[in-house]
Amino acid sequence: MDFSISDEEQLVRDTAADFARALRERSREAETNGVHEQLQAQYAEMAFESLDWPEAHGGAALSPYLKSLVVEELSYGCAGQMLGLEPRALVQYAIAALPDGDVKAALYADISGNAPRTLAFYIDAEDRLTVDANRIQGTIPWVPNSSADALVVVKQQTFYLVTSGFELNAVLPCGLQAAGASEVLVNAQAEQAIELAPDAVARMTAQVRVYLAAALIGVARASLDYAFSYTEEREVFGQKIAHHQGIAFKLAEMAIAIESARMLVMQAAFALESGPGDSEAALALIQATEMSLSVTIDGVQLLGGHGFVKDHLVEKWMREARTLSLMFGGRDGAAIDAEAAGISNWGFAAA
Amino acid sequence: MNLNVPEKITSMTRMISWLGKEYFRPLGMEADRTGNPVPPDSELYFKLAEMGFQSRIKIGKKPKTDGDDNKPRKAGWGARTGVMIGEEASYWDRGVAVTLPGPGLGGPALQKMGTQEQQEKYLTPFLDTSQPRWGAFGMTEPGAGSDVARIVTRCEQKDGRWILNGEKAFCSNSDRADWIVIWATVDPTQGRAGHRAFIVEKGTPGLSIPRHEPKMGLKAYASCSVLLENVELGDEHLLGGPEYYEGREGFKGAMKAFDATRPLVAAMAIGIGRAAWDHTRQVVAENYDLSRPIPRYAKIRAKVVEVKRRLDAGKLLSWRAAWMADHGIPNTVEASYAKAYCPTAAIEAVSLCLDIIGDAGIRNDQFVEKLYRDVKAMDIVEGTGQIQRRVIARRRFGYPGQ
Repeated sequence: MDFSISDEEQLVRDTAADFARALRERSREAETNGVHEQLQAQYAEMAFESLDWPEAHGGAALSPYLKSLVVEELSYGCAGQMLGLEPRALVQYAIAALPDGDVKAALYADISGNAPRTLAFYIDAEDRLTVDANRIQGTIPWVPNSSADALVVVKQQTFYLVTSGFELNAVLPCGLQAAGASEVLVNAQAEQAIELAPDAVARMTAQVRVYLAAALIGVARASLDYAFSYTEEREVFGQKIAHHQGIAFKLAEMAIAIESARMLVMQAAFALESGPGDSEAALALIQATEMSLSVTIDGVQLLGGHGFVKDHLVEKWMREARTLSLMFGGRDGAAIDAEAAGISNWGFAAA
Repeated sequence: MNLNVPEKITSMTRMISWLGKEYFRPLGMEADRTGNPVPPDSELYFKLAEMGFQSRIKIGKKPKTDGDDNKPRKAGWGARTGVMIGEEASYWDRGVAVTLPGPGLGGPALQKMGTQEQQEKYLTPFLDTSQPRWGAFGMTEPGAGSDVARIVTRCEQKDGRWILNGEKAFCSNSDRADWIVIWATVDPTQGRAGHRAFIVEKGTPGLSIPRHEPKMGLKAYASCSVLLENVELGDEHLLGGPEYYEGREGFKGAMKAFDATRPLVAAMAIGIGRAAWDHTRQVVAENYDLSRPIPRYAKIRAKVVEVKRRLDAGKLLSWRAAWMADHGIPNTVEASYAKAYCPTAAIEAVSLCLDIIGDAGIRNDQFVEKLYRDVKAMDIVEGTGQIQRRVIARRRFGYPGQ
């Protein structure tokens, strides 16, 4: 029962928070022009993308909790740019799920080093792709990439690597534009089709969910802080908007909701240190989704008409929360997994 | 960050768990059926007294600072141990947990404000392990709950004596207490600056307990009205003596920078929720095969997850606020996050459990309906949910609070 973080962890977190300020400044520009090259170079220098990767594969092997804190801070700046800056962060969890061997080593080599390749990553939670004798066909509606050197698909328990026979066409997404956005048309023979261990799939899914949940917290925090500043500056009926009790209580409720989701992300990150963490991560994503949808919608509301126009960022966070929370199966996928885990792990199964 | 509970705490919660199963749960169910509080001569209380439960008090320890202690202090485990024990005790029966012998809320008031003589006189009897004893605390009035500055119970000085007149409400355990710390005011227009605290002994002429409030739940303890009619006291009954109140612009008896009480009540709510969860789990395991594709079972599976999610988030909020208190990190806002979140989360959790059990859950012998009635109090005591929002709004968002 210790909620502290070490000085080293605090340093990493502060560094992420500093960098996030630069992301925030470029939020609007990045929505049309993507991530700035200079920021990319700076971010590569910081090596935050591989913060939680294994040491054997060039990572810093730091804790899932620290990674979640960094993701939260960066998303507080701009979640779209964050995804654009670390396009390998999520697919790494799928690569980590592979059994040790040549394929795994080769893929780690691909995503590390000075000229890492970009692998678009899709978990086919909604059964949009058909697979027959390792031939994958179908359309992936959206991935947060503008281009990709290869495609990784995890469908049920199998990891597919597709290196040719797919194409990306730009689409306009609800949020996260800065990362790029494409649909993926696939009609390809998978170069690799590798069966994953059930525990490995559970862990991969959990890591992806903790990442998304942490990002949703960052986005929601951004919205709350911004809405608070606005309601503190502007007056209605003779007093600051924030000082009307209806608004003051709303701000308090937004803060309470954010903290509750943070606790579940912390719990999931802690569970990942000693096990698959699957049910904990699913709970965290559901909580973070419900929280962020309500907080970012309220964030817009608190600015009134100004909330709806692009002079302010709250509308961006509202779009971003909805977008992040639909990725990789979203809260419904998390709920389905949590139910399955719940029935078996929490003692609800018939004797 | 480490969320494991250390053995030094689990060894204590195991003891509470044993007592809970043997005594708390059956006594609480009995009280709920009869509407009568657990009698003061219950075997449980003698057992606890014998175990030294009421005797773990420090006498004569003067507070380092008064009211506003912003100095960092050495990390302890008190608050974290408190929330764990509170959660476990409430898991078995929160109503019975309130009746456990000891000085109660009057204890901290005596230790913080009381003179050496007062502490010796009123706390020493608790060291006797042969007899359970209680203290009580009376601040709330019929016309003043959340806003304690509005209390109107008067204390007037007359010929060197104090005369108290007024009425206190929801004064837990005062039916069995040796003494009650009663808050009164020399002048209601002065707000907190006019407050004085008195130790009123059982049997003092003019002190009476006209009624026990009939409550929706938590019937195991008596919430009493306390009537003070021309109760005459000397300075030896004025908590801290006259000098304590000199030159003070009021004191923050109840508001502290390191708050362990609100996380505790938050954890108690979670304990009640966990009791519903465990009972529901048994009902489900015995009656439903959730792997079957029955539409209602799909709803049940979803609700199981909802319950777990709320209880886990709440538990961690209370733990974190307690951890901060243990480390002398000001936790006013975090304590309010926990206190605002946990009770409503627990109410929803218990309610969802009733959905899962269905109409059978309405029956009193099904136990969860009792928890539904019990748990609501957690959003009211120790600062209502609205007061917590007010605290957060003031501390974090600069809300002036008019």
